[in-house]
Amino acid sequence: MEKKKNMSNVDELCVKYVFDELDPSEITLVEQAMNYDQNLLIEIESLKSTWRKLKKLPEMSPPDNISEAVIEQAREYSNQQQLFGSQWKNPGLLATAAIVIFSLMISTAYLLPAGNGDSADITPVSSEMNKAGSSGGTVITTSQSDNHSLFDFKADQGNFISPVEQAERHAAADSVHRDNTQSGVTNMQTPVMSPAFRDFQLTGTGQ
Amino acid sequence: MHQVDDHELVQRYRKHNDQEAFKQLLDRHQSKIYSYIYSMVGNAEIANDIFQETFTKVITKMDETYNEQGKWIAWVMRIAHNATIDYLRKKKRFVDVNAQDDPDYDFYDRLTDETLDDAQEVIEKGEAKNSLMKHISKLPKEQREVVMLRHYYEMSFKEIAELTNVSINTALGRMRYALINLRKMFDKEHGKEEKYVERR
Repeated sequence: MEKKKNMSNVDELCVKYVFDELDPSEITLVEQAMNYDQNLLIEIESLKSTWRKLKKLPEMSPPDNISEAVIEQAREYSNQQQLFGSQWKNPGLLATAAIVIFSLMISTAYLLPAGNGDSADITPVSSEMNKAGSSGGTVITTSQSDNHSLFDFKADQGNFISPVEQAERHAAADSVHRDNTQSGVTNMQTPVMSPAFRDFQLTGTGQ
Repeated sequence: MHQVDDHELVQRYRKHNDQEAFKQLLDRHQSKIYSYIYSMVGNAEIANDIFQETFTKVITKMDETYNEQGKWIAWVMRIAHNATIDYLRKKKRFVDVNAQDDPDYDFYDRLTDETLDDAQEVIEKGEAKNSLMKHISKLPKEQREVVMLRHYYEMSFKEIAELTNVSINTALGRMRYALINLRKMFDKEHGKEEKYVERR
């Protein structure tokens, strides 16, 4: 293993010597080694002569139209950059833009309504249902369309009705119901509510 | 006559939109870049595409990614090398640089490195170079790229190692094996016995 490593170092030194990438002390070492080891000398000469042959490798240019296309592309790009860049390199313009943006942000913040009950309008029904369910309320939804906003009614958030007002409403509703039933009206303009639903609508508790 | 260095030309182009400076940069380096790409892919049309792709990146990324502390040509070369390697990886095979790949293309039509007076000399030199390129095309890609980067860009082995993401020792080893293989090919071509002496 050690032997292999040493040989590998010699190989590296040989290539570096051929390509003149050794420091003076290493050059001396390699040249001394070549004096002792003829095979090393032959190898280095062989590498050198092969590399010399590669010096004859041709150099070729791209077709003229390709070079011209590149130059044209560079011209177009730098013109674009100059046009765009010159506008934004102006510190005055940058400062003005920053002030305008900042002002817009401030005024927008003031104009926007603060969070209130309106926000419920955009709350998904499912979340409303969860809230209502967790607070012991009831959610009523229409079955017209699942894709549209649904009427929801949260019982525990209904308006408060005093017992006196509640009694008056019951009496009025019962009177209408009785009149309609007695006159046999079937095509009613006024909806007829059952007492249970009426109670539910009025109090939200279905009393 | 004083020759403006690359650094100054790059600054003129970037800061003053000096198109003439960019043209000078291109004139100065395009042959080496193109030769390297061509030697790796062995097809003129593909080399043209990769060359253009390289300069599209050079033009559009210069402001973002080129650090003026480094050599401009080394930065461009890295882009060219990566574009070439990307192509080779996509193809998943190595393309030989020979007439069979591109029969209508004469490698020597656009030689720029010398002026040749004698027609016979043109043919002889052309043949010699053609043979040289054929041999190089037979090298494994890793060995070929080390040879080309050293030849066209005079990159140090440290630079080659960085560019190709290998250790310096690996880069040196690849060069050594490339030269040994080429030597064997030359000897075989000239009907010689293998003269290479194995040291061990």
